Amino acid sequence: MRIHRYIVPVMAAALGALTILSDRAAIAAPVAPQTVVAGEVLRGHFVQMRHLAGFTKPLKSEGSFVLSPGRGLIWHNEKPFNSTAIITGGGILQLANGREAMRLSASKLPGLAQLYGVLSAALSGNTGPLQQTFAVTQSGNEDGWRIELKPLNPNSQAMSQVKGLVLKGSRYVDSVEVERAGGDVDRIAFSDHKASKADLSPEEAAQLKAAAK
Amino acid sequence: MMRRLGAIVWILAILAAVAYLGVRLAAGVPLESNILALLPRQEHDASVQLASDRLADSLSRRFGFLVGSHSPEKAAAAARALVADLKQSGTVTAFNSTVDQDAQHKMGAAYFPYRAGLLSDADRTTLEAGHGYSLKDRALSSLYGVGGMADSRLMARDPFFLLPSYMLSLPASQIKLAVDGDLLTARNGGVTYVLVSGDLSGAPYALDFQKTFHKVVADAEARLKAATPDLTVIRTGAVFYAHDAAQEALDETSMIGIASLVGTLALILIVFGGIRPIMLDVFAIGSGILCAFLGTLIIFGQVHVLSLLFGVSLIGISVDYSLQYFCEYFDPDAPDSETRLRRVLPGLAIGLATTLIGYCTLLLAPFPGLKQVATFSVIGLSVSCFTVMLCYPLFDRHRPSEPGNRFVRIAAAHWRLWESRPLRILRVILILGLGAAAVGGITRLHVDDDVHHFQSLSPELKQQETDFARLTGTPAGTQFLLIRAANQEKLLQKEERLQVRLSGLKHSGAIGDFTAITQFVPSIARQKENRALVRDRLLAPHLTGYLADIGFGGTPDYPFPDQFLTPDKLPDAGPFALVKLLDVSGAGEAAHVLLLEDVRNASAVQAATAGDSAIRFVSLADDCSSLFGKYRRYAIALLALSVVLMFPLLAFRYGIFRGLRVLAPSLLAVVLAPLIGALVGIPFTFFNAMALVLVLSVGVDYSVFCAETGGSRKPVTTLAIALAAAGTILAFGMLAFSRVFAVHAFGMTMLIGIFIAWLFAPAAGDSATRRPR
Repeated sequence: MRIHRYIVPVMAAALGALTILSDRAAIAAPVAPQTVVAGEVLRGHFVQMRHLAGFTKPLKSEGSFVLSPGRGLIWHNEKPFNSTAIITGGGILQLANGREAMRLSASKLPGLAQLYGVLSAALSGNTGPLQQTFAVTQSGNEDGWRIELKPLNPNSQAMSQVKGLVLKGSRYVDSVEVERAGGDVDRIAFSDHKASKADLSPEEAAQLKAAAK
Repeated sequence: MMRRLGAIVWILAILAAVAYLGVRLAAGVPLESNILALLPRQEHDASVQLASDRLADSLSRRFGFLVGSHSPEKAAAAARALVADLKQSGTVTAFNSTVDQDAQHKMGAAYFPYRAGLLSDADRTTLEAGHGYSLKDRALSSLYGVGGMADSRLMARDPFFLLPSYMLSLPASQIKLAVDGDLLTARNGGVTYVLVSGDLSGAPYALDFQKTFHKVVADAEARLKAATPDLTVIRTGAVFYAHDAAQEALDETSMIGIASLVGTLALILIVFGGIRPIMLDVFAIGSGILCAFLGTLIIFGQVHVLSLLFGVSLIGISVDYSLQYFCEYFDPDAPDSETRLRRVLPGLAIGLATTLIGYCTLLLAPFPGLKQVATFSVIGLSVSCFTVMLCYPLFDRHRPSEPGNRFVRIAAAHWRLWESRPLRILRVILILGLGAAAVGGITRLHVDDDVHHFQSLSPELKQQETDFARLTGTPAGTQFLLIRAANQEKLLQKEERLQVRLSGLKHSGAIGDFTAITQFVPSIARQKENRALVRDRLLAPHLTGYLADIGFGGTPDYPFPDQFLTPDKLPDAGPFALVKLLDVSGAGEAAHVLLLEDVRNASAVQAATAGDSAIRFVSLADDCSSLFGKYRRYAIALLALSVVLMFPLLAFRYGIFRGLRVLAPSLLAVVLAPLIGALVGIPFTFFNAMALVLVLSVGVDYSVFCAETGGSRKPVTTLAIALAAAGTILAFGMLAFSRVFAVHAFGMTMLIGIFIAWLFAPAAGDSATRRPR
């Protein structure tokens, strides 16, 4: 991973002004996700499709997300309705019209910590901590990388709903698929990733701070 | 010949008692160390007693550790190792520090059939306001939300996710802790702490159990610290305090016992010379203490460490009788043992009688602990005194000492202080000085009954407890409301009405939080209301549209059964174990404990519950404190009673006027000791009052000895009481150095009081008016 990060600027320099290559060409065949480290912020767009048993159509929602590794994840739903959830290791804070609508502590709902763990690991590309709770299988081909997660302890309360996860990406994560007990499947597709040095808006910073309280 | 026979029978009886004591001790010593065990039962309110007993018992069995390290992995490993060690030792019945997967499951299973009647307060308010649509919006946001916390199986059985909402509204302890796998952790200053907590399998105040538990913990801690040097272990629980207290009391008992015995024997050796007086003295003291121990054991079944502590101090009093006898060695007019005994016998008899009167008033106190101390003392002193009377003449072969012994000369000065005309000015100065000190003391005298001050032992443990509460966010609650009603349903309804007021108190900051059974089980009436709200304000107007919106094909299975949830249907698992603990219902009446946390404004709580005699605000520590206050006043009444009981005896012997003079030095000591103590900053507590009872009975002995003497025997008597006071101060004065506050207060009062009683004792025996015998 470290070599990989080194190669990108070198190649970019070598190729210089000759031609502008797409990102895809420049990173040829990544076998592991690009990492976003503490101090950086990753933004992007998501589309979530939930295929629930007994439902005639999948539940589709979309919006934008902001990940600040180590601090939290802001999940901003735009369709079918507006809502914001700020997820941290300590719990989840739900905002409606900018005001606190619901706050759940991770100590009350053990699954929450896992949810944050998986999402922040998938988005930041730092899958190391997941190995404590999942059997992690990582593979890659010219199209990108693929990580499969199986719960190490399927009987635990936090894992009782999850049968397995598949994360796929070319550079950053492009999709997360969650297979649940009872036949439900959630698919989240990510696009328009933008990683940058901390540029949290004051509002976002305030939201993350409020959630960490 | 008769006397010889009596002595032999007495010695054989003592030997038999000692042998039997040996048999009893071989079977293990039942020592009790809980200071509260010294307190009486509050028989006036049986349900409060039951509630506080059960709660106190349950709370006292709880323990908690926070195992911390800079490395989260090492902290977790150490915590697991500690759990394994405790489990293996058998000292712990249950751990509650791991996230109990099974308990969560059982909770859900118990609630599930009755879910239509279970609404969180917030959801009920929403529906009452007719805002069913906002619950629909919330359900939608759960379905569409990140990570999909709501799945199709739940959706089909609880379409608006009302049960999860209810369960999340239940009171949860350990609020500051985070879940990490199956462990609960807290982070502070870069250190990760892992919680290890549970219930002890034994009584934390039983010394044997304490020892075992302490050893397991100490061994584990030493081993884990060797592996992880930066490991910190923060502990909390009554068992640690109890162990510390017991250790302290036992250490002090042996230290004080040995110190006063050695000191007393050294005094005797120096003053009387020769080994025989020491042997006789050890015989008198030893027979007294061993018989007292045996008697207490037989009567009470166990011995409290504090009785032992006070009892051992008997050495200082029981030695008085031998000293009276030995001092006759210096009287040239008492050449043989027969004469010596005859001369001291009246003094011994009256001294013993007055002392026993003092101790017997303690027996009247409805205090189990005091009865023990009194029993111990009465037996010990009587046996010691009879040993002196019956056995000393048998073994005494001492020839009269040469006249003009230097100790007798020094002691004679004590008497001169009260007789000599030129020293009159000194007497006046002394009395004025003490009077001034007393007046100064009056302004500074303050009464202290706070039980926290009596048992606050180890500042280090106190600090750890504070740290524990801060890191975990779980203050140890010993304040609660006791609520009663004719049956469970009425009681739950009463609690629900009360809950509204308590929420107001919580909001205004008067209390931190509260935990009530009704939060886990609504009353049937409330469940009926809830069902109606759900049916009329949520399902009827919103269900069809909601299901169409999300495209749910079937019909949700959301039943309204005939049955309702009642407390007896809850399993004894996880948080429900608390429900069982808080339910203290007895025959024919339902009673619940409602725990209050962090009561900052007790009068607001009182006000909120006033007007309903079926609700009582109980504060265990405050109750104990008021009890200590009550018994402090009781002790003063006992003191007055002692005086009243002693006086007829003294008046019979010395006449009314001289009887008063014999009492005067002790009364002066009783009045001055607390005032002078106040001057040096000692508050007046129940324990000081108890010490005064002893000051009175011991002090009267000194006056009696002085009143019984006369002429050339005066210096011999002052020598005897000087030695006696020195012995008593050696014994009780040592208690003043105790770290146990109660013992310290007791010791200081004895120190000051005995000194004054001794100083003024010769004033009771004016030779000019002495009645010839």
